[in-house]
Amino acid sequence: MSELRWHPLLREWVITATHRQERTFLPPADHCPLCPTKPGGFPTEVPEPTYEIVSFDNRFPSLHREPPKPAVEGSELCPVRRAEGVCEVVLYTPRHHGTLTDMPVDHIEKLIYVWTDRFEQLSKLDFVKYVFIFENKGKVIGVTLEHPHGQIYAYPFIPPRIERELESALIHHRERGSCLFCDLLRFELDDGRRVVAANESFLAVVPFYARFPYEVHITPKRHLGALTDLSAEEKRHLAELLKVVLLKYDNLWGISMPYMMVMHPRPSDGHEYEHFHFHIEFYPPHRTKDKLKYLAGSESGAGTFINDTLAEEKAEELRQAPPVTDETGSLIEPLREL
Amino acid sequence: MSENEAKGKVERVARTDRWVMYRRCEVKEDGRRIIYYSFEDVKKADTKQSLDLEEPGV
Repeated sequence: MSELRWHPLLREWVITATHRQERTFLPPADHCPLCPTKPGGFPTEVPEPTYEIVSFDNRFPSLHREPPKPAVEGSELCPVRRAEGVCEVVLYTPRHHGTLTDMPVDHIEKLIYVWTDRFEQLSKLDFVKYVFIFENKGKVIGVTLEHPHGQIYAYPFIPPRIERELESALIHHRERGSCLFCDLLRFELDDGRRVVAANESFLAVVPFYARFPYEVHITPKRHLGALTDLSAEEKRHLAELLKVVLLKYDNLWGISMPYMMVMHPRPSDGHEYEHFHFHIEFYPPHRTKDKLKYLAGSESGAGTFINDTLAEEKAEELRQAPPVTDETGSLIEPLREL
Repeated sequence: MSENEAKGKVERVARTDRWVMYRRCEVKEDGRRIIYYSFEDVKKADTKQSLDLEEPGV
């Protein structure tokens, strides 16, 4: 069963998707449903014997192109809607082992082009209001399939987190006549203490208001709303900066750093949103090598995060993690692969 | 041409100075869509196009 239930206290939709309880859970490598289908082997999600990058409709989607009837009837107080939308799984590589961090910059660049095309194509669907590209990495995040992959949710509404960011950006623009994100970029560049990495087109920082100890935001220096607005050069620069940030995460403690990577573009509902500014956010759950930050009472019950660390100190740690960068975000030594 | 209309066809959807990106949409037995992205060296792709050869399989 799958439906949207309105949460009247928070004024947002909750997706129920009961069939997801049965989704594939950490299968062995030789039964990976995301690997190509070997000749004579069991059929995977990809019928071809090989592929480069693939995106497919999730077998256990939270949202459906042709949604089923809701399990319950809603009411005026608690409306219910069909869970219309699209859920895709993006397979980064046909190789089972490895992570986005291991991939060459050239491949990450190709993935950015795929993400861009998916964003563009899904945005055209008239029932889609927001295209959300993300990656959950690591068992501690709750990943159920190890094969390197990400997901795309094309929602029939603007999600609450994005609504809040839009509202903040609009208020700031009305009060100051400038883009909130552009002003934050200048704030961080002028300060320098929270800069992790940067290049000609993008800045990566542990934000002043980080909620996770090693949270990183990647923001384009040019004011733009979505991946589709990036030039070819900017896409290349994004691939290079992603590689640097991902390497730093893994080199911090010599572990494959779990994280949630989320992209925040403008909505796809046909309105302009000129005051919004595309950015990417990383939420690694680790607060030390061996300890996790949990979303406990204050975070989950009151919506107020408690960060046990200082953003400036965590940014310095990340700058010192290879490839080493300075307070302008520049690489101390060129990245060999680049 | 939209994705929906182009099922099974290989479409050239992006290009850099190094490669061309193609997209092919298929429908699986259970009705779910799968989209294959492939990449070809730009010189090879341009040569094929100028000779009006069939697009590569993906």
